[in-house]
Amino acid sequence: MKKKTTPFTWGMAAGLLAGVVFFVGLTVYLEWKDRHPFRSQPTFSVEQIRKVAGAVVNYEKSNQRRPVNLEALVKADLLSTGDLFDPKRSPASDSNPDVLYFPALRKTDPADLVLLCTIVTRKRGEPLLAVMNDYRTVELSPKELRTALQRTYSYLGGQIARNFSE
Amino acid sequence: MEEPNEQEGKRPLIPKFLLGFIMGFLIVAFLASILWPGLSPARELVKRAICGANLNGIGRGVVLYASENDDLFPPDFATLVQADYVSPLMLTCPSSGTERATTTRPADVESHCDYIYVPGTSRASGDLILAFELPANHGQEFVNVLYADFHVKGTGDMTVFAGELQRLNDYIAEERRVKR
Repeated sequence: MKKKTTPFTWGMAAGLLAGVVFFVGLTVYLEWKDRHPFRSQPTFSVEQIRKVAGAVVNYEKSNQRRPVNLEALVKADLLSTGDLFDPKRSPASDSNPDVLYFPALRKTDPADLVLLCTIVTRKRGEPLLAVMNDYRTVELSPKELRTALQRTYSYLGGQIARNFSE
Repeated sequence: MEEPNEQEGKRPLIPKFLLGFIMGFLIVAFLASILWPGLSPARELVKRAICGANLNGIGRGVVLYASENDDLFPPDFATLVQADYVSPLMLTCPSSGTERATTTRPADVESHCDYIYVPGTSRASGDLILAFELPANHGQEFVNVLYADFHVKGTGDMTVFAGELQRLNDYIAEERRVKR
C-alpha cells in the first residue's frame, strides 16, 4: 500500500530544491560577476594616451624639459582636464589622472623605459597601453608591462640610490 | 459543529511544511558551506589572501636583508632569493598561474615573478609603495600592495591604487632631481 506523503516531507523536498537553486544561482552569479566586473575602473584609449604623449613632446620642445606632472600640460594649454581622464568619469571627482606618468625619466634615459602607461583595460584580455621613453606607443600584455615597469623602476631606483653596488 | 474541528485539523499543516522547508534549506546550506571553498569565486578570495601573504613575506625578507646590510633595501628580488630571505614561490601570485622559478638565477627569478619591486625607497619612505602587482593578476578587480613600512594593503579601487603609484613616481622624480 502506498504511504501518504506528509506535509513535512513535501516541505523538506521544497526546501532542498530551493536551497540547491539558491546556491547554484549564487555561484553562477558570482562567476559571471567575476568575468564581467560591474565596478567601472577608469580606462584610457590609444588616442587619449597618444594625445597626452604628443602634449609631453610639445611641452618638452617649448620648455627644454618634461613636465613635473600631467596637470602642467593643462596649465600650458596643451591639454584640457578631460584629456587626462576616462571620458566616462567626471574629472572633478578625482585629482589623479587616469594615466600613470613617470616624471623622473629624462630624454637621455634608455628608450625602453615606460614614460606613460595604463594599468587597467576596458575589457579583460585587451592589451595595456604604454608610451616608452622614445615616445613609441605600444600595446603590452600584463606580463610585458610588468617587465617594462620593473625595468623602469630598477633603473630609476639605481639612479636615486647609487649605493646598492657600493 | 464540524467547522472548528476542520480548521484545527488544517492548522498544523503549514508549520509542518515550513519546518520541512527550513530543514531542507539548512541541509543544502550545510553541504554548500563544506563545498564552498572549492568553488571558483571563493577560491579567488583565498588566492587574494595568499597573494597578500606573499607580499607580507617579501616585506619580512626585506626587513631581514636591511637588518644585515646597514638598513639598505635590496636592489631587486633576485638578491632576496639568492640570499634565501624569500622563496621563489612567494614571487608568484596564485591567481596569475605563473610558475615558480626553479633556479635562483636573476633572469629566471625575474621571468617567474608577478610582483614589481621599487628599489631606492627606504624605511623613511613609510607610506610609499615598495612592491606591488598589476590588477590583471586578479581580473582587474583587486590589487595587493606592500608599503615601505612593510604593511600590506589590498584594494579594489584602481583610482586609489593609481594615485598611490603616481605619488611614488613623483617622489622618485623629486629624489632624482635632488640627487642631480
